[in-house]
Amino acid sequence: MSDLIAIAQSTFGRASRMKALYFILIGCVLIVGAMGLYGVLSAGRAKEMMFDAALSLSLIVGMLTAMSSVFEIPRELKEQTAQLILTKPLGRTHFIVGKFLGVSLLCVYNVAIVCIGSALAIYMKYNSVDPNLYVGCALIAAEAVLLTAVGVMLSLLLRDAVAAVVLFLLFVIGHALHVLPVAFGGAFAVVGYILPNLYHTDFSVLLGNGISLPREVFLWAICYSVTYSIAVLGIAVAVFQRRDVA
Amino acid sequence: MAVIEVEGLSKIYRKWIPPRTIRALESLTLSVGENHIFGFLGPNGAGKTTTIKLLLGLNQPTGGTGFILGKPLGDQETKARVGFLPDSPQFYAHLTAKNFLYYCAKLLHLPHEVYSVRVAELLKRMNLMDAENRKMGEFSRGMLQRVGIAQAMLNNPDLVILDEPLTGLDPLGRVEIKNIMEELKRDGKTVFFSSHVLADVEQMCDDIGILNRGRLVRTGMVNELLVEQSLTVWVKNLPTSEYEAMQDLTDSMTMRKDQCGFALKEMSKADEFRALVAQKGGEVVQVEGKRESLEEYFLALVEQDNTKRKEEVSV
Repeated sequence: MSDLIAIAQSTFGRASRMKALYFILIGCVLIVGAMGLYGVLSAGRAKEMMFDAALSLSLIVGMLTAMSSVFEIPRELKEQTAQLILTKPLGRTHFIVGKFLGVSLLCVYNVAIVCIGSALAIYMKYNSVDPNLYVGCALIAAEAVLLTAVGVMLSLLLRDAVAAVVLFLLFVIGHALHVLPVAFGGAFAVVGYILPNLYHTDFSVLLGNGISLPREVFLWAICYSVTYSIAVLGIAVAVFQRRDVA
Repeated sequence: MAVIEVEGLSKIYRKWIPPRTIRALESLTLSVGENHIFGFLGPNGAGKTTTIKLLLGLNQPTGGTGFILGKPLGDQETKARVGFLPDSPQFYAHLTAKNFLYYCAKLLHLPHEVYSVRVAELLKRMNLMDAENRKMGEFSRGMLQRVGIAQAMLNNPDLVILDEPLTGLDPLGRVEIKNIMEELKRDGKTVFFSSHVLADVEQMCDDIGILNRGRLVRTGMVNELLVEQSLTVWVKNLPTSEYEAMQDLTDSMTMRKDQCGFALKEMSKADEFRALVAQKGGEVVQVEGKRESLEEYFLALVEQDNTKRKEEVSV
C-alpha cells in the first residue's frame, strides 16, 4: 500500500507543477467573479450566471486536468523512470493505479479550488451560496475521475497526442450519448453502455435552475463513475501486464 | 552459484506500421557467477538493453528461459534483491536527491527508520551530501548517474544491473563510477553492466560477453579471451657485436639505458631466444608480454561476425 501512495503522491506532485493550469484556475475564478458585474445586462440573473459559469469552468478545469493523465505514463516511460519503478518489488497494477490516483486527486483538488473560489465570489456579492454548487462540483469531480481512468487506459493503447484527441472526443460524445439513440436509432443505446456516458454525471441544467438532486441520483452518479473507472482501470492493467516496457 | 543464468533467451519485436519484425535477441545463453563484474558489450542496437529488460522482467521473452538469483525472470521477490540503473535516466527534476531516494525506498517497502539511515549513508558514499537538498533538475550528468547508482543500492542488493553507466561521463565521472563498481564487488555483490567504454571494461571486468546483432558471439574471462600477442625480452651485458645474431628470432630492437629489448617474431621461440642470449654471454632481465586490447579484440570479433553473416545471407 505504501508504494501505491508513494506513486500517487509523486504523480500528484509532478502533475500539479503545471504552471499553465494555475493561470487557468485563477482565470476561472476571475471570470466567475466578473459575472457579477453583468447584473444589468443579464436582466437581473447575474447570480444564476455566476452559478452556471462556476459549473462550466469547473467542468473545463476537471477535463483539462484529466487530460494530463494521457501524458503521465508515456512521460515516465520516455524519461525511464517507469522502468526504474517497475524493477522495484511492486506489481504493474500498483503503478497504473498509483498514476490514476495521483491524477484523480489533482482533478478533485483543481475542481475544489474553482468551486471554493467561485463560492467565495458568489458569497461576496450575494452573502449566500446555493448548496447545489457543491453538489454540481462534486459530480464534475467524479466525471473528471472517470475521464482520468479512460485517459490512463488510452495512454497505454495510443500515442499520447492521439490519446488526448480521443479523450476529448469521448468527453464531447459522452455528454451527447443520451441524444444519439434519438438521432441515429436504437442501436446507439448500446454505445451508451460501452462509452463513458457522462450524461449520468451531468446535472448542471437542473442544478442551475435551482432544482435539488435527490440523494439517490447523486449516489448513482458517483457509483457509475467509480464502477466505470474500476472497469476501465481493469482493462488498462490487463493491457499493461502483457506489454513490453519500451 | 550462478547469479544470472539464461538459456536460449530470444526476443522478437513486432511493429505494425509498417509491418515488420525485429529479431532483437537470438537464443542467448549466458551465465554470470557470484561476486563477478560482468561487462556486456556490443555495438549500438546489438540487443544489450533488450537483454537487460528481459532479465528484469520489463519485457517478455519470445523464447527461452532465465533465472536471476535462482528465481525465474520477473519474479517479484527477486526484485527486492536486485538494483537497476537505466540508460540515460531523467529523474524527476523537481525532486531533491534526498526526496527521490526516499521515494525509491518507499517503493522498496523499506521502513522509515531503515531508509532514513541508508539514504544518508548512500548520499555520503556517492559524494552527494552537499547536493542532497538541491533539485535534480540542476544536476550534472555525473551527479545524476551517482543518484541513479545510489537508488540501485538502496536495498543492499545482491545483484546490480547497470545499463551504460559510463556513457556521457567525463574522465573524473568515469573513475568515480568505476570505483563504486569495484567497491560493490568488494562488498560481495555481482555487477552486470553494459558499456561502450571498452578500456574501462577491460580494466574492471572479470568476465565479458560480446553481443552483435542479437547474437552472443563470445563470452568468457577477460584474461582468457585477450591473448598475449607479442613478447619483448629485455637483455643486458650482451656484446653489441652479437646483436646481429639475434635477428633471425626478432622483429625489432629497442634500447633502454644499458638494456636492449628484442621483440620476438614468434612467442613460441622465447626459450630458444633465452638459450641464444645465454650462449652469447647476455643476461635476460625481463620478459614483457603485450596483450591485445579489448578494443582490438572487440572490433575484430564484430567484423568477423558481420562477414560471417553476410556469407550466410549470400549462401
